[in-house]
Amino acid sequence: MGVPGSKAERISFATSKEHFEEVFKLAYKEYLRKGYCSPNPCERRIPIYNALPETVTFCLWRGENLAGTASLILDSPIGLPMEKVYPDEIQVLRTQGRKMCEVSLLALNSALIKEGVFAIYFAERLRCLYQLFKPLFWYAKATIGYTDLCIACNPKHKALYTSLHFQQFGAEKVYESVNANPSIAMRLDFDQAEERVKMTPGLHKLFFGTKLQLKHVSENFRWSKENFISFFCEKSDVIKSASPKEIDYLTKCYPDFKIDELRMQYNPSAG
Amino acid sequence: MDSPESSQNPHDLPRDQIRIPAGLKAKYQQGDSEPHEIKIQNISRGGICMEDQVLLPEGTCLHLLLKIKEKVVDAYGEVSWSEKQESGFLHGIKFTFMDQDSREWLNAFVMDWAAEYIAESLDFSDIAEMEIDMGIECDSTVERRHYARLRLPLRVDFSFSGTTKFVQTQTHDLSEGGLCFTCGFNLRKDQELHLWLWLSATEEIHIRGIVRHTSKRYAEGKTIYFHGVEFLIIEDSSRSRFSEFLAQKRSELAAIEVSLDDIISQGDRPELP
Repeated sequence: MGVPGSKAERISFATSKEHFEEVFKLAYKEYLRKGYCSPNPCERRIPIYNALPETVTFCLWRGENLAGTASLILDSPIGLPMEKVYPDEIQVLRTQGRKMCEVSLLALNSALIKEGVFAIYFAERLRCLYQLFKPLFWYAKATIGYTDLCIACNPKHKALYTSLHFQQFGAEKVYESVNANPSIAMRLDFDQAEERVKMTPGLHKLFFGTKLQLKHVSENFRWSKENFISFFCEKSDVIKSASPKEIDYLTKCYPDFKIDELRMQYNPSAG
Repeated sequence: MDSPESSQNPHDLPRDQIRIPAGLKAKYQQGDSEPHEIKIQNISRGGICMEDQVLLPEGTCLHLLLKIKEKVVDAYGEVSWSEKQESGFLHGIKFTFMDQDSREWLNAFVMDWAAEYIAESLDFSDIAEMEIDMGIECDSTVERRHYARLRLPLRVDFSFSGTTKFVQTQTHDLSEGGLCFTCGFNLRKDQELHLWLWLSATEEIHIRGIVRHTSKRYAEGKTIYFHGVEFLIIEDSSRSRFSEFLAQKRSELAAIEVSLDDIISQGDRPELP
């Protein structure tokens, strides 16, 4: 089920089971299409980071269909997704006192948004991208007060993020979790963002023309146990393959879920 | 993604495709000929669509000089398609070579121009006003209410004064401390209401309440507002009758689930007159 809408396009936070179903399916479909993941029988891409209560997922709806999605992962005891590839680079920033978050699970629905000759520079694709990135930017910068927005992206998208004033801070490496595709690490330093964006009046108008005040989603939203089990135990291997450190952190986040018992139930060999 | 996909004609692109700003100048040079000024219809980092009086066969190699802001971008391209127009020919030119500096300059230009072009048409009001619904996905450990909710559609009438019943609608869920109802228009937070809750076709109780939260959903082209109301004043006899009613329903209907779809499928939602 999509989320119905009276407007042609609208952006929202994902807060219901139906939203997340659409998000995980779209991410899987698009990642598979681009060779960023291998086929899996559940046909969903469900990372452990989306189980964390502080993770925020943005949805761009076109009518009843999910046109795009992006998740914002905050630094936590289990780190950032890109830290598996860039542990030193992230640690350096962390020791400098930077508060980092990462754009993850970014996907645009290719069935709705054509690729074509002009690829990402279609107004249509850019519209979608900007609609996801503006609230994501303001959520990270203003709502939760973080200092850096990071992303691990394919080097072929470097120009795109450079144009958005991201700067590269990690060299090209093989990123296993996207099917061993190459990646580079980029970040947008919020302290410098507004000054840098002034150099591009169009982007400045778009991002800073109207500031967004968004609610703190994780203060109001948590997974229900039923949906947690559905997504992270039954429809994915998240709990089954979680490391002890990840299990510990999930246990702290959801003390009533008895995460250890769930792990034993879904992965008896882990005991 | 960096190289254009030749199978698609850029002339067929969606109507909201970026249009280049007036005054973007370009010239091309074929072989050793003199540079020839052209009119650009649109541009991307992958190529340009240009208008010319001369038909250029597919596969023709061109040296392009694109004046973008204060910089001249030097690129090489190949004609990937041509189309006869009333006043000449339209050509799709795929870039075949551009140095890194020029590529970045072009990227920045296109991204910035697109942002300028798009900025005013974007609407973020939904996410900015979005109420995060506690009732759908919220874990019981962070439940703010003192009572367990029962998802039960009951008729509820409400008004802003105690004299007339203004709107008839139905509950989404309810508990001893409050209820959530749906209606087709928004109510402001902290609005005080008079509610008449129908426990059966013939039995109603009167309650004074206050709107504590609202959220908006869309379904089948309709906007549905969910209003969470906390009870302020309820007569003792009504309170005990209501508690008794809830206890009975909980035991009878422990598994009842009323989905948003169920609510929406009942098309007789009240609207403001």
